[in-house]
Amino acid sequence: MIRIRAIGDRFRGSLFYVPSLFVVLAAALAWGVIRFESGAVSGGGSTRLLLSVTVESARSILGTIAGATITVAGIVFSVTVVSVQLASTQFTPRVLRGFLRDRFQQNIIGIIVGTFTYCTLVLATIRVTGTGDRDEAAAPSLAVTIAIVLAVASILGIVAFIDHSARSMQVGHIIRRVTAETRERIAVLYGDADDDEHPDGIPPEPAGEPAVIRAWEDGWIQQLSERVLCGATSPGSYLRVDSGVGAFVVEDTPLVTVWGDDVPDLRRVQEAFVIGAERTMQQDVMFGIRQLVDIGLRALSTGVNDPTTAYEVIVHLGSILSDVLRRDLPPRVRTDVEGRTLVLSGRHDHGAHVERAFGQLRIAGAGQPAVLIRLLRTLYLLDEVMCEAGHQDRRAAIRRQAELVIATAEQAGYIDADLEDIHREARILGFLASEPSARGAGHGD
Amino acid sequence: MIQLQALAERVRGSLFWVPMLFVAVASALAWLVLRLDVAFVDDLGRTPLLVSTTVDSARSLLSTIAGATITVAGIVFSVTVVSVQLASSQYSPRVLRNFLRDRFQQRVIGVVVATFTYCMFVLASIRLPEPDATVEAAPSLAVTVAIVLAVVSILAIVGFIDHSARSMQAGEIIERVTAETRSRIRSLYLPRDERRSPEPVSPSPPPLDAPKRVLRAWRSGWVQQISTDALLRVAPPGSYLRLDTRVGAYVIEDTPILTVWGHGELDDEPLHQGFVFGRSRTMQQDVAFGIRQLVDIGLRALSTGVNDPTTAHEVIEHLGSLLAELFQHDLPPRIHTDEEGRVLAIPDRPEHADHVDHALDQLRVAAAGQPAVLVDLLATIRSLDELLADLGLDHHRPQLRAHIRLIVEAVEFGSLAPADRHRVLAAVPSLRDGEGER
Repeated sequence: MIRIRAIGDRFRGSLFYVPSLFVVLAAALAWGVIRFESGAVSGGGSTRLLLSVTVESARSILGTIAGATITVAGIVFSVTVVSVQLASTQFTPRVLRGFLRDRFQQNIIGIIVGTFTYCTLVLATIRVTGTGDRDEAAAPSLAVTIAIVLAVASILGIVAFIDHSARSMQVGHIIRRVTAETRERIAVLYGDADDDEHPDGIPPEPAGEPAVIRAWEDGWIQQLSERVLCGATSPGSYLRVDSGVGAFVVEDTPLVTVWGDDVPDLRRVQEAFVIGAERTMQQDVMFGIRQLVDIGLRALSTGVNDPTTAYEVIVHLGSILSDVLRRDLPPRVRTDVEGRTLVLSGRHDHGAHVERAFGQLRIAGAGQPAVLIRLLRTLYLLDEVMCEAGHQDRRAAIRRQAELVIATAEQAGYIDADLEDIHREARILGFLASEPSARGAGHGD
Repeated sequence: MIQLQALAERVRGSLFWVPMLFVAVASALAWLVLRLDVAFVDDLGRTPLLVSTTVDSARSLLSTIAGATITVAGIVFSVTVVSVQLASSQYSPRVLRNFLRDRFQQRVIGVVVATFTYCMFVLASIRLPEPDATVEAAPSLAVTVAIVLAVVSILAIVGFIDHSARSMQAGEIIERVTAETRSRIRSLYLPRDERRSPEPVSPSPPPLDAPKRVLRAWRSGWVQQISTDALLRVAPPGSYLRLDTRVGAYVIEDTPILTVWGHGELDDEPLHQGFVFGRSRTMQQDVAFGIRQLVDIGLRALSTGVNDPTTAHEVIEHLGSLLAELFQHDLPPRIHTDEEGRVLAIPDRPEHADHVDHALDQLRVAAAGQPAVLVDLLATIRSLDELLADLGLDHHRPQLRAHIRLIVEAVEFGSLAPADRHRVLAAVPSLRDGEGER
């Protein structure tokens, strides 16, 4: 099942899928139009309503269009690669990976290649008919008109492509895209609590010698199917997986430990894992958080010094965390009807999400009081949401992070006024004792 | 109403509106010119005043023009994206947002696409006038117009290059952001009026005995606009509303944005009409965002990876002029009321002091190692102080003094060489009225 999903993913992401679809369409269009026209012409002379074109003119029109669109597309695409490269040095190398792969870009490439194909095919079929003067013979007018329309569409498509790529390389856009993708993943992966969750933590490991399945290749764990993994063992087994999705496994290190009656089926265990050369988002919410944190860290480096981008990252992390904190995470322990117990000790709890999101930013932002204040305000908003939802236990992780922020500020060597600012803010937001918290301060400049 | 405005903004920003208009005009022009050509040829046989071409040369001319303009435009636009990318890594990723979206650039795109379309249509209709004619009689007028259009396109592309090169200069960007912010200040804030009664220091407390309800954000996003009128209109008479967010803030889904005390039915939906949330901060109601952009450019210039104190100096001067403009305006009221007894309190409305802090705080921290920049900051603060003294706004002056003290503290705390430290301290203005001494 997850095999098929991975293949589907690869197919949809393939660079040639959409363009070749467009080429086929263009070829069909050319064939249809030429057919239609030769019928119409033999029936009633020429098609008067449209442009009436001679063979020579048609040749130069089609030749110009085919040449120009391909040339322009070639230039635009190759120069875009340069800008992608620039953008990725500026933000982080991981976020622009799928640049030429998004649907919009592929449609544009498809339109251009389609226009080219159409023009060449029509060009190939143009010939002088009858005995009249070479130059006066009627060319397929409808076909030429369509070629002009396609050419205008291609050009506007290229303009849209340039605009789209310019905008999608803006840091704000990248942040929004990663956030949206991560939140969508959260909605899919983190649901309501499962009933079969063990209330009292991880059950003890059974006695006896376990079978250890070692990693069969290096790579990132992209996906893991719990059902398939359980199916690989005999009923009543106890399984422990130490690395979770998003971890890098080294060949020959232990991956799954199984206590059971039979030796587990190695082939089916391998089927349960998708291990690849890079991290992907399918089952990996942490990777979304990671990408945002990377952008924020880059922005906070002294060579860049762009606290506003860091601020934007922090608020978007806040909106991801509010999604995470409002949901129950998938359980660490699963049992199935046949008595198998699966322990996924690599799963993260709520506190880990908060720490992964803000831990490094807190340290990198230590030099800039304004960034720490943003962190405090975002933590306050999260605290508020949790308070409203009645999750007292999850507030602890937030308040712990807030204490760390304050401690970081105290160690950062600020002048007194800046430190006082942070203490005042912390008191207003209720993270430091003394005067009871007023109301939520605004959250912006 | 503000929803409509946001929609209009989107339509005007659409990429294809102007170019499509130009394509339509080009098609009409081609049709018209060809008609005229036929008429002329019928009357005179030739049109000697214009270029007279043969059919063959007309064909190659038109296809050359069509191919060349499009190719050149493609190269120019895409290379410009690279320069925009370079510029934004140099200044700030937020200031060059509107590439390919301003009216001028759209017209250039339009001219190029229109030239292409025109050439194609004329090319399509070129033919020898009679079956066995050997006389050359191509549509001379149409070809002449094509040449003119080609020259216009090339000039437009040159104009485009010039325009984008200039719009990516630090000075130009700073100037543009400043001008935009200044026009926002003028349209959002009221000119200073000494007779206006002073505002209450803190808004009157809400009627705690009335039933209270909290409106929570229904999605995450930046608060781009808030319409106080719309909020007051939909609330029941006599109710008290308090805004818990402000324009330019980022709200997280489910956090409170408005609290209403009052009796009477009130749905969420009409209240939603009072807010515009968006995917990025915009300037429409947000003066602080203009200041923010300038500060970002300054911070980037002061980073060790760029080290460009001259740009920082330019930013500081422009921030000074914006702050001066701000001091000459009164802020919109903190409490809005209407005849039916509704009250809307905005406790988070930024004060003059907040704007000053936003403008100076981060730059001071980033400039701590550069005495020259600190001297610039001091000079700007001094001229602001003089302005305040002239305007009689003495209650704002202690804050400026506090900023001077912070700079002094940063210098004394930092690790500058003694000579540099003296240089900065010597620049500390002796403020009028002698109160500036520490």
